[in-house]
Amino acid sequence: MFLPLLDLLNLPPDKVKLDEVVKLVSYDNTIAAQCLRVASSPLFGMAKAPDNIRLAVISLGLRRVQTILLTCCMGNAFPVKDWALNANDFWKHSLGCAMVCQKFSEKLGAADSEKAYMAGLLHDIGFLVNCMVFPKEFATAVTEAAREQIPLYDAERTVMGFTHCESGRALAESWNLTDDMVQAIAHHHDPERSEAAYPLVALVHLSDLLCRMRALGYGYYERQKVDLVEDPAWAVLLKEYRSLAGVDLVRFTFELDEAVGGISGLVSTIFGGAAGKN
Amino acid sequence: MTSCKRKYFLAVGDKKLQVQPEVKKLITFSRLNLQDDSRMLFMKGMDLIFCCNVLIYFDGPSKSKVINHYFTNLNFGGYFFLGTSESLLNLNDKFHLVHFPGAIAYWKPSLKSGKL
Repeated sequence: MFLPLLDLLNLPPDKVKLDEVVKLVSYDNTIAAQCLRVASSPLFGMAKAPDNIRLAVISLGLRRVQTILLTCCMGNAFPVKDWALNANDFWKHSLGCAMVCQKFSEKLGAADSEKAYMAGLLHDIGFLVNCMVFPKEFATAVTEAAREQIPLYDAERTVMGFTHCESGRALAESWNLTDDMVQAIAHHHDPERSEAAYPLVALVHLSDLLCRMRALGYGYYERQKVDLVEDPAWAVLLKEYRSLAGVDLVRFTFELDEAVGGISGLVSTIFGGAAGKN
Repeated sequence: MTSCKRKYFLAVGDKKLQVQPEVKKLITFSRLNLQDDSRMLFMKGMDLIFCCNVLIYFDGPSKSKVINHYFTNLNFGGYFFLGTSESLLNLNDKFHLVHFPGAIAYWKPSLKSGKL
C-alpha cells in the first residue's frame, strides 16, 4: 500500500477522494489501528482517538490523514534487520525533523505545512538505502562519524565517495515524488546547489540542523557550531516569507525540546517492535 | 570525558565535574551591580559571560542597557549565555544566536569573520 499512498500524496488536494483514503486506511488492520493511535498522540492534536476510520478521516482532514498514513507505512516499508544506524535514533530524527518542518512552516504562514512534514520525514531516506545496499561501507562511515564527531554526511563522502543525498534522490525519483520533494532529499545538506532555490529545501536544511543540535540527532555527539540566521538557506526562506524575521528561534528551540518526549513515544508506537530490536 | 574536560576538570561522582585546583587558583569572586553603568564600563576583556535568570527581573530598557554593556565588554569571538528559556529577541540584534549540541549561545563575531 506504500506506493499507492505516495501516488495519492502527489495528487493536488482537490483531486483526492475521501473514499479512496478510507479504503487505503482500512486496507490493513494493523495500519488502521496504528493510525488511530497516532492521530490521538499529542503531536497530531486529537484529545481522544476517534472510534471509526471514516470519522477519523473526516475530523483530521484528508491531508493530515495521508501524512499519518505515510508515517505509519514507513516503519513497514523498511523493516529493521541489522542497521548500521540505530533505528530508534533514525526514526526519532526523521519524525522530529518532520515535526519541526511542519511547525516552522506553520509559523511562516506557508500554504502546505503537510508537505513540509512529508519532506522532513523523507529527507534522510537515503540512509536506509545505504543501510540496505551498502551495509559494510555505511557502517564504516557511521563509526568514523561518531569517532571524529563530524556530520555523517562528511564521513559518507570520505568513506564511500557518495552520500545518502544521492541514494535518497535515486529512490525519490523512482517513487516519482514531486520535484521540490526530490530536491529537498537531494540537497538538504547543500541547499545552495539545489536546482532551484526551493523554500522547501531551505526549510528542511534548517530544520535538520536544528534537530541535530538538540536531542534529535543521529545518536552521537556532533561537534558543530550552527548559526542558522547566517546560513544562506535562511536568506532563501526570508525572501519568500517576511514573517521569518519575527520567529523567536530560542522559543522555537524550547518548543522542540518539549516535543522530544512525545516523539520518542510516537516512535515506539509506530516502529516499536521493529526499532526495539536494534 | 573529552580531552578538553580532562584538562580543566575532575570527575566527581557520576555526572558531576569539579574544576582542577590549578584553575581554581585563578578564580576571584567580586560583587557587581549590573545597573551601575560606570563600573560596567570597565569590565572589559571578557571571553565568556554567563547570566542566567537575572535579566527576567529587569524591565525592557534596563535589559537592553545591560546587554549592550555585555556586548561591548566581550572580546571579539566571545560568547554570552543566558538561562533556559530566556531570549534576546527584540533586545539586541548585534549578537549572533548560535547552536551547539544541546546548548544555545550568543556570539560576538570575531573581527576577521567580517560578520559584525
